[in-house]
Amino acid sequence: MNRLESSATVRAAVTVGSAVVAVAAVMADVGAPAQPILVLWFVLVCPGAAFVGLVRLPSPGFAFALSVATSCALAAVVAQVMLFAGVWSPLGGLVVLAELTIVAAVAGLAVDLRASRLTAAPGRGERR
Amino acid sequence: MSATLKTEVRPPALAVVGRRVRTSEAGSLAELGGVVGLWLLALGRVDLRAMTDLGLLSVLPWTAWGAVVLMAFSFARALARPTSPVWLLTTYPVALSTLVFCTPLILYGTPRYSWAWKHAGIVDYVSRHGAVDQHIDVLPIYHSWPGFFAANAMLSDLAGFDTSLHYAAWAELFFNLLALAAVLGILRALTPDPRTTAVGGWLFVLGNWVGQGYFSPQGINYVWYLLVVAVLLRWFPGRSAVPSPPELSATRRVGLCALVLLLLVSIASTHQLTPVVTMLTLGALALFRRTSLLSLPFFLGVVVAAWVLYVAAPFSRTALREALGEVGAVTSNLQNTLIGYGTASDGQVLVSLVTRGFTVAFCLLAGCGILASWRSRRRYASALVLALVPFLMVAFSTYGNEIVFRAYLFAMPGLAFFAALLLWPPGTSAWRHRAVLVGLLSVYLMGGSGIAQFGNDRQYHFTPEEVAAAEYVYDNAPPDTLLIEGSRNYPSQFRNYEHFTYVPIAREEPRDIQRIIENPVGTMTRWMSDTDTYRASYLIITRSQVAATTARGEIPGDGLLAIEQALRSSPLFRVVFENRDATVFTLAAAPEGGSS
Repeated sequence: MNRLESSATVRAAVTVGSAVVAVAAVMADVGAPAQPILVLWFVLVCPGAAFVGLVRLPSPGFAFALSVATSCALAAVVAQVMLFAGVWSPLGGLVVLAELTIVAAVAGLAVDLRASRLTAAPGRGERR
Repeated sequence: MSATLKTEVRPPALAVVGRRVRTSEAGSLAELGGVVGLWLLALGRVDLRAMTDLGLLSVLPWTAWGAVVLMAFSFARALARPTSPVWLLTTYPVALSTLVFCTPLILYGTPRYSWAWKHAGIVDYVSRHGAVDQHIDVLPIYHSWPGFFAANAMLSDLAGFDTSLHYAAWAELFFNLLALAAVLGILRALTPDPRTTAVGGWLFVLGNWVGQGYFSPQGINYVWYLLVVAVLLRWFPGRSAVPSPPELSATRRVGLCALVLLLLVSIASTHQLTPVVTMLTLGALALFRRTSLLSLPFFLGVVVAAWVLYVAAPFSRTALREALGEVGAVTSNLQNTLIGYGTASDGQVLVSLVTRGFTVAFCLLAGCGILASWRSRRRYASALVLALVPFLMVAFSTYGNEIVFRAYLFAMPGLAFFAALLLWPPGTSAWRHRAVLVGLLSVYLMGGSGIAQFGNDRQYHFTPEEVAAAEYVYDNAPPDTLLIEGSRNYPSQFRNYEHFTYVPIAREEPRDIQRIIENPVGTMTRWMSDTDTYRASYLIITRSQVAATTARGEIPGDGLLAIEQALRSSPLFRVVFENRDATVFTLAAAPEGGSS
């Protein structure tokens, strides 16, 4: 596994794992301090990290800030849609965010795996 | 054998340099550790109750000033060393921001600014109702742009909190660090020089005294605005981009563009002012071909128009005419922003004068930077757009009498860049004299910034006793309660906020305030006896209300304290809750709990 694949795998594992654990913690109502920590970590960081990971920005600090801001934006959009659609459900919102995170993380993993295979096959690259 | 001996006696030059580099970096980190230690020592000795009209600075011990000077000195040393790595230079503005915004968190424990509590009240409303009421009488604007509140209602519910106030005090640190990261991104897009970037980030932290990075829609919207600008300048530059943009494949650029669109939709749907300044800035960047995404202003315009005219229609129908009346009224918009000195206390006048002087000095510094860049034939058109275009907002609105400060806030990245350009022009190598200048100037700027940032904290911070009194009222009052307040400046409206009709004494007409002072018992008895309209009536007076009305001169003489004393000695009133910082009254004739 090269560095590209490795970082993509770690990112996907962390974001997807956080999504699953956050949903489980809320459903099991585990309470403080675990529940606030898991929920805040997931909602404020992971969805954005999964989407920003697709872009692979060269600056880690900026990428992290963009990840957090994107997570906040996704939470605001999802919450507003529930509000105006008359289907307010915080758990439902969390599940939607978790699904978005998983889709983005898996897509990121697939894109990076494909990119690293193309890099590892110079013959195909040369023909292009 | 001789080679081995040589190595032992004279290590290779590279290894020596490497060790020196590590030693100097460790020295900088040790200095920063010393700064943190001194600062914590200082905070441990602060007596908040001794605070005067000069705010937090009036109670900071000498160790705090020692920490500030040491930090400026350490930053100057790091700038002067040719071997200082980028991460170390960037650490200084980050450490400064952390120090500044950890301070209220550690000292007060509760969110600063009464508006943070009102925002928590809207979050509470959404949590309880799972809906918004766009026709509500109190704070209706938030029900038409509810994204920030809905997200926090969801977040606090999922985290198992009964109120967003559990984490609201952290918002200042959270938003300001995010804003700094975005500004560093903008500065890196404008110049490849790490020292200019670090000085710009440092100046941004010092210059950003406006205090909008608290628990508010503006806090997150400012971050989104800065990130959109940073992405455009760095990865979608137009002509004459100074540094070459980092390589991103076409697919990844499409993905990044999609993220920008998401941020723009979030801006349009969660705030009223930020979409305007974003549209102006993106429009100017597109007009001068400083970004390749020329259609973004149009996209944002369509989303904003759809939101204002469709989603927020109930609010827009009533408020749009008034808002349009402010368009073009530059002079009155400016005048409405600045407080008059006629009634304010001496300390408040001094804080205001220092703040204005500091702001003007910062803008002059940036102005000199602009002139210097013109003289050196470097135009920096993108930075000029960032520094100047936000001030066009003054022509559009008063925005609750604070439009100039909001314009300054949005202009900060551009202003900080030009000020940095003056102090450390790109391409300047590590130069000791220039570093000393930055260090000395930083100490002066830290003093001005400290007064501007924390000079009003006697009224902007709230004690647990004040919170307890407000909680008593908000937990016990039934719907349709009249709540008379000394002023709006206290932890208010954070729970069941729609149950109340609010009457702040300080917002009455001056002649009415005079009548209240002349006959507080009679006036309050008459107001609180309206049992046809209200099921209960309360009057609350707190320490922060007294501090605010005294500082601003809103109520003459002894003001609220005189009113409180008169009610205490009257048999017509009963104290239902009191502690050293707050008193809650009802009519003596009212049953226990305040219902009348």
